Amino acid sequence: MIQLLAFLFCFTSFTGFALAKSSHYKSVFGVRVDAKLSRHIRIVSWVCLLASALMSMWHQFGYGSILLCGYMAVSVMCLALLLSYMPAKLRSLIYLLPGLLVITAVLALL
Amino acid sequence: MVISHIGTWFKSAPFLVCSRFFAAIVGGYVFSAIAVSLLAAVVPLPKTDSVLLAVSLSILVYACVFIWVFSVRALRKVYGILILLGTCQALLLAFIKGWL
Amino acid sequence: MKDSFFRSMTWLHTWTGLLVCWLLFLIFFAGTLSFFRHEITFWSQPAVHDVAPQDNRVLAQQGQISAALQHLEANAVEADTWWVGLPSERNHVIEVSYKDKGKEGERGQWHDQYMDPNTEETLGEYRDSHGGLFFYRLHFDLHYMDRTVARWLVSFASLFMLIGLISGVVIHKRIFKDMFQFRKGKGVRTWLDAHNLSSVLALPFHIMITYTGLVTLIFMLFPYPAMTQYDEGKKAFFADLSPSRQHADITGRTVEMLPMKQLVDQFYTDWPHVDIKRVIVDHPSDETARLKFYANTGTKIQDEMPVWVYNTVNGELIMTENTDFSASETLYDSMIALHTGRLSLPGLRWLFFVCGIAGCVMIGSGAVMWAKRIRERMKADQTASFGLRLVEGLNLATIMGLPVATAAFFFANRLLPDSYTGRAEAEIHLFFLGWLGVALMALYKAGTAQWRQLAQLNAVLWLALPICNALTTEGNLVSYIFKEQWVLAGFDILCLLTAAVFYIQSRKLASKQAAKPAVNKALKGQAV
Repeated sequence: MIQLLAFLFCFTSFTGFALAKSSHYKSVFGVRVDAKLSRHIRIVSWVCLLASALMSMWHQFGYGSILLCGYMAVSVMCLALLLSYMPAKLRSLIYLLPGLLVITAVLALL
Repeated sequence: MVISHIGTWFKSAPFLVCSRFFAAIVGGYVFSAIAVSLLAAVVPLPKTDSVLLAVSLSILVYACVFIWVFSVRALRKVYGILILLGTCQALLLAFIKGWL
Repeated sequence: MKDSFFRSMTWLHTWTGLLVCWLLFLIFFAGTLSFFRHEITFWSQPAVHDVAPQDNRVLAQQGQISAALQHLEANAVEADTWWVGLPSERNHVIEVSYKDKGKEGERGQWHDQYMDPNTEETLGEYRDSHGGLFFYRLHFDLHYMDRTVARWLVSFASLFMLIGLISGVVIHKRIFKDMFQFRKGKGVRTWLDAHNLSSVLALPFHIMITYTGLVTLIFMLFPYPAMTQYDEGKKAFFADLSPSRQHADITGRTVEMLPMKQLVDQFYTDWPHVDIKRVIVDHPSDETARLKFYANTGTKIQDEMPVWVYNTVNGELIMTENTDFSASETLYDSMIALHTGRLSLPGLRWLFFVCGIAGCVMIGSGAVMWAKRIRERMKADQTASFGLRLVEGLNLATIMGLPVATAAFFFANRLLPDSYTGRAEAEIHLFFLGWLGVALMALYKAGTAQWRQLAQLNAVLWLALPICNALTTEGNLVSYIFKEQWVLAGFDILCLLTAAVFYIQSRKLASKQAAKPAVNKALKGQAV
């Protein structure tokens, strides 16, 4: 469960990195992103990535760091495909992600 | 006429490309072989450890030399530096090992 | 100066890449499949599909080792080596093998048998098949050629791959900036995006796997540090590095060994709760006989297994090894461990697999892009040069041919009769025959039509594979899911996914093919 949470954090983080870029933000929301929002998104993304790193390396540092590389690869792949084939779907996913994170976190804690 | 023909051939693009690849692949290989052997000889570690460290780094050395060969414009400089540094290292290695 | 560096790197990236891309594709393809080497082997042996895994693997090991060694004691007294592989997370059966004493100057032959871990009885005839081992060997030994030559070729290609990766990062400076960019339906630009995306998303993996791959062959490539440090050369180095690997020659003087059960019990009193991976007896009944226990390293980034070596006559512990690494040993050993990925649990294994596929896409798209660029620059009335047609042919032959060949290999495993002599070799021949067929077709002509036909062929083959499996074995996808046999279910699902991907590809190519004549007509209309 904790690994799923780590992956979700990683995915959220890279979603953030993508949305911080004006071209991708525009393809998802249809409007330009302003500089302040973009910066905020980027900060949140870094925090998420850090959280993901901590979680994946919690049990074993070496194994976890390889896992993290894998998570990043899969996240980037999914995002690139989503952004180019169904940007509208990504929009609903963005609203879903925090919910998913909370549910997984609760399940991981139980 | 034959001589001038050979002279232009030495400056032709295919020859220069082949020569550069030769410098990178063979020259780089020999150079890194000497460099890592020297590294194994000078690091103050037990013998097995020094060998393992040297071989683990050997590909890195080779790759760096390879890239460097292609990044320098003058081919003569490439050969000059490779041969000069390689010989120096070989001499140093031979001196340390007491082969001379 | 900066500009010239950039240009020389572009040049280097293009040409080193093009020179070795097809061999590299093969290496990456086979290597990616090798991450599932044991799973493929398991799939190719229907006889063991229904052997149930154990609930408490480690606890059962003591009895299993004793049973296996007693079996060998009874059946292979005259052997040179006994070899027992314990069940692990990926392999359910006990492997019980022994090696003959070879005749003068020859290596002895291995005889493999398998035991059910639950009943500790030997299982029936095994199918003569290499399974996943074939892809593992293909990955660095190739096939039909001398092993040393093959390894040098593979190393050469890997070196160029490393150079390609470094120069690639230099020339595509913007790859990290446009990380998520994939512009579909834009010709060469789409291929460039696919190339960049597949390389950047798994860049740590690509660099790691190429570098560590070279390190696995390092004592062939760079034996010089070992040779200069040790007067007797490489052999002396290995003897110094790992004494447990050295075995003395058989002297021929037989001794009375302690009963195997007693030795195993003694090991377990000294070291309870160790997860054992394999047990080897060198030269049983000879005075040089040694009993070795190898521990499972689990998910630790360590490739060399901790080993305990016992004297079989008096039960004395002679040495332990690989329990405590120095910094250099850790550096070297962890690189090997990262490359082989034996440490991975299923989750990480799939991530490795996905990254391997990304590597294949990277190499394939790079090669295709080269040809597309040249085509684009050509004038309408120009005919393609021999070089361009060769590249296009080889691209098609490798990228679409390898999946066909792999499918042929799997079909051969299911359809060749068990009694066929030289069955394992025949499977491999069929792999290469399938590939040869595609290659001949591709080298004859490699246009959109051929790509589409081969995509269709692949789709049909991969769709038929689970069906063929269901018809020739007891199980099928539904039963696998109900019985929770995830490895087999995963295999079938992966086949279906592959078929789906090829189907989508053929549809895309068909629409492209339909669009092309229309464009040509429009152009002609303008000209008129």
